[in-house]
Amino acid sequence: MAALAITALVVLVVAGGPVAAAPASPRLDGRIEDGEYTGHYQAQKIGMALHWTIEGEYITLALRTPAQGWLAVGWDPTGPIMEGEDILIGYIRGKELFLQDYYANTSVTHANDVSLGGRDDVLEASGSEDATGTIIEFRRRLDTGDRFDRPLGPGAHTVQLAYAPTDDFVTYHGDKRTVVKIDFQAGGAVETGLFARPRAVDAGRNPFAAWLLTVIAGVSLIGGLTAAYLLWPRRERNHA
Amino acid sequence: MPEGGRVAWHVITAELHTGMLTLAFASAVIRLIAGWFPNGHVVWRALVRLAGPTALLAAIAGLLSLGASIVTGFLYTWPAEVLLTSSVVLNKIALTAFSLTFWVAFVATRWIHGAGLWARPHLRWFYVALATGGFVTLMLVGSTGGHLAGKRSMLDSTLHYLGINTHLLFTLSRPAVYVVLAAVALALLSILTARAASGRSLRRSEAETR
Repeated sequence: MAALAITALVVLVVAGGPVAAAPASPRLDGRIEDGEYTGHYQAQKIGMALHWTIEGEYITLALRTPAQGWLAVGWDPTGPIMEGEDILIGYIRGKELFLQDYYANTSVTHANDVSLGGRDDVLEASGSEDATGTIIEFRRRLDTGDRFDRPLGPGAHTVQLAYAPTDDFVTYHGDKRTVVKIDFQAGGAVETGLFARPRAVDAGRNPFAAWLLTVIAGVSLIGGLTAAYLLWPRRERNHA
Repeated sequence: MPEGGRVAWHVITAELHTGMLTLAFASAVIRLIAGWFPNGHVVWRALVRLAGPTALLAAIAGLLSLGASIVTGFLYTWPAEVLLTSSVVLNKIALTAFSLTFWVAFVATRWIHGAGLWARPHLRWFYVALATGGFVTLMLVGSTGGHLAGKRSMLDSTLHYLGINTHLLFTLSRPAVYVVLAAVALALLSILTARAASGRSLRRSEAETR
């Protein structure tokens, strides 16, 4: 009788019956079901959604956009703008998912981690695209150990979300970009405006004026020396 | 991440000015070294004969496409707020300004002295030096452009070996800028004064001869 009860209990557990209280791990199937992820942020201004679930040392992220093109999530730039940011960017062409691990190597550009000497740390990914938009899901470690990745530890992270309507890794996102502070472990998100950091370049108190003066000095030096050589009277006499 | 489609105009004009100005530099160098090798194969002699005019025409075409490249760069790549706050972009704009000045000086020198400049030893070296300055700055422009496109540049290892980080904004200190500007102004003023004095003495001697 006891053996029968244990067998019945095992059958219930395996069948996902009343014993299954904790949410199941997200399934990387290119679909986002209600309650599949523990965290969620909806960027109202650009119509993009970010979902996430942390399990042990792994995080699963899902992105949904209303466009058919690339979409990206990045976090923790050192600035200015997106410099130093850990970026995952992907798109779906036909039925094939193209997802790559990128790093913002300058304030306005990014490069594939592998091309910079790092690793592609996406462990698992899936995606789908239809007339209503694009979904990409992927899993990676919270801390990959790669020097071109940023660990997603406790506390708020500066997260940038963006997308564009073309299937590539370079098309400018235009106004389809937003910046938000997200605490992935505790939940909660706060919009922070378009720029994560002050956009000043690092060269003293007024870098633009210093740069402009440098340009003027360089142009004056080249033009001035040329004019001086061409106007030199001794040369003119010699060859007159 | 530049805007797709229209950014192709910047790519096209950039390739065009790079090709044209490289041709101008190569033609000027060929014309210069022709002085040491006046006799040679018929192909070489034809090359030398065409090198002078080619250098000028390619420089003019390169300057025009460089101007177009500047316009398309401002209009079709990143928004102005990004262009004017990125250290890499500002370095690229500065290098473009230097290259533009070298090539304008190159064309101006040829326009003032004509094809006869190749017969004047110092002037032809000066002319090729301008082309070299324009070409070297153009290479640096291309290298920073490579970074902006998210790629690496072949010059990276050389620049890093020299301790140059193209990601940092390059600026001179205020005193250095003032010293350069004052030196240029003083040099031009001195030369103009000397030129005026030379002209006066020439006119005086001509009057005495008459």
